[in-house]
Amino acid sequence: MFFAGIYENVRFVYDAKLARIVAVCLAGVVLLSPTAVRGEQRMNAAESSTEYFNNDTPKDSGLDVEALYSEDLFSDDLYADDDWDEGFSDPLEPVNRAVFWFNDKSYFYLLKPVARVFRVVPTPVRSGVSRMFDNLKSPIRAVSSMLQLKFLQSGIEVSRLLINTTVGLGGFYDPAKNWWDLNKQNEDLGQVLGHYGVGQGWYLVLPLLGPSNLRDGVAMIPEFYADPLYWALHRDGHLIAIGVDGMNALSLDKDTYESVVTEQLDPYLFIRDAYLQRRAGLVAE
Amino acid sequence: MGSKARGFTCAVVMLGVLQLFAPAGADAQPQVTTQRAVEYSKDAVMSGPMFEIKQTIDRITEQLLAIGTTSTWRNNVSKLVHSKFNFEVMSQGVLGPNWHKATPQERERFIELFSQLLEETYIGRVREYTGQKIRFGNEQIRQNRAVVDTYIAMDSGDEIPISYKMLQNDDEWQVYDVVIEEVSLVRNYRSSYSSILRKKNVGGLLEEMQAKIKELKQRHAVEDRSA
Repeated sequence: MFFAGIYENVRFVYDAKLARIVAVCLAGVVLLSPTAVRGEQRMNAAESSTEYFNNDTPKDSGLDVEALYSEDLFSDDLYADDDWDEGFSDPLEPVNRAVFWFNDKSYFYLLKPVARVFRVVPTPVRSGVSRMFDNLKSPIRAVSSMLQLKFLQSGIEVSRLLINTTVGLGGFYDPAKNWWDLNKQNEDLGQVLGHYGVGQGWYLVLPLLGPSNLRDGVAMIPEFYADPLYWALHRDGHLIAIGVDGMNALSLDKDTYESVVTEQLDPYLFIRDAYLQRRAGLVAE
Repeated sequence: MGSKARGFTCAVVMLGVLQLFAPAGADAQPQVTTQRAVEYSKDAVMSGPMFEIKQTIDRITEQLLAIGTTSTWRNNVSKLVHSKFNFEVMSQGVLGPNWHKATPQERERFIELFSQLLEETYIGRVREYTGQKIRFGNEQIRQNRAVVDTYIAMDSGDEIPISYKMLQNDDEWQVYDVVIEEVSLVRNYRSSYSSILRKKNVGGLLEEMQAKIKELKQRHAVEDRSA
C-alpha cells in the first residue's frame, strides 16, 4: 500500500507546532544569504561568458531607438535579459529527486485518477469553484503587494476581493476582471522576501506540493495561516478544502505534467529550471 | 498554497507554441495596440512580426481542421514550424557556452535534432487544443528584433502571457524564443541541457535526443493510427 498513511502524515505535519517548523526554516534562512551571494557571482560569470553570440548577434545600425524601449526586452545577448542565469543551487538534488519520484507516482496513481472523477462536473462549474478558492487568496496578495510598496496592485486586489465576493457571488464569477479590467496581481510573500534581496536558496521539491525553494517554502507558512479557510474550517476541514482545491485545479489542467514527462530528456531538470526562472522573473517584475 | 506550482507547471507545459495551433479568434478583437518604430509605420498592417504570427496561426488552423482527413497535415505543420522558427539561433542559445566546445559536425547535428525534437513536441500538442481564446497585446520592434505579446485564456479563468521574440532574417520575421509567464523556452532548455552536459559529452546528449525523438515519433504514429 504505497499511499497508506499519507493522510496521517499530512495531519502530523499539520499538527506539528508552528515553532518547530519555523526553527527548521530559520536554519534554512541563515543559509539563504551566502547562497544568494554565490548566485550573484555565477550570474556575473555568465554575463562575461556571453561572447559566443557576438558573431551572430545582429549589429546595431547606429539608429538610436533606446528611448523607445526598455532595455530588458532587447539586451545585447539574444537570450540574456538576465536577472537570473543558472544562479541557483540544488545541493539536495538526490533527496529532491526522491521526492520528485514520490510525487510522480502519487500523480499517476492517486491524484490524477481522483481528478478525472471531478471531470463529471461541467467545466464552467469547476472554473467557478477554482475562482472561488482563488478569491480567498486575494487578502494575502493585497498584503504582499503592500509590503513591496506596490500600492496600486494592492488596491486592485482589495477591489477585486470586494467586487468578486459580492457581485461575483463569492468569487464564482470574476466581474472585477470582465467589467472593470482589474486583473489578478500575482504577488505572494516569497516575492516580498525576494523584493528585499533574499535569494531563492536551495531548490526544494515538496511532497505533493511540488517545486519550491527555501525562501518560498518558508513564505508558505504564514500564507497557510492567512488562508481564511484555516480560521473558518479548522484542521480537518482546511485539509479537505486544500485537497478539493488541488484536485479541482488538476481536473482543469490539460495533462501538462504528462507532456513534460514524455517530451523532456530529464523532466526533473526541466521543471526545476522553469520554476526557478519563473520565480526570479516574478520577483523582478 | 499549491497554486504557484500549478500555475507554473501549466505555463511550462503549454510551451507557448501551442498557440500556433490555435484558431486566430483574437483577430476579431479590436483592442490590439501596436508600438512600432517609425520606419515600419507605413506598412504596419500587412507585414511585421505580429502579422507573421497571426498568419502562421491561421495557416496551422487550416491544417488542424484537416487532421485525420489528409495524410499531409503533419508535413504541412512541420513545414510551417520550420519556416517560422530560427532553429540555428535557438540551438546556439540552448547550447550556450557549450556551443564553442562542440565541433562543427556536432553543431549541425544538434540543430537538426533540436528542431526535430521541438517539432515532435508541438505536433504532439495539436490534438490537445480545445479552443482557448487568444488575445494579442503589444508588438515592439527595434531594428531587426521584435517582441510580440499574446495572452491565452485557460479554463481556470487565468490568462497566461506568452511572448514571441523574433528576429528579422532577409525580410522574414522568425521566432527565436518563446517566453511563457517569465520563463524563456530557450533558457529553460539551456539550463537543463547544460546540467546534462556536465555529466555527458555532446555526443552523449545527441544520442539521448535521438532516442527521445524516436520515442515521440512512435507515440505519434500510434496516435495517428487510432485517430
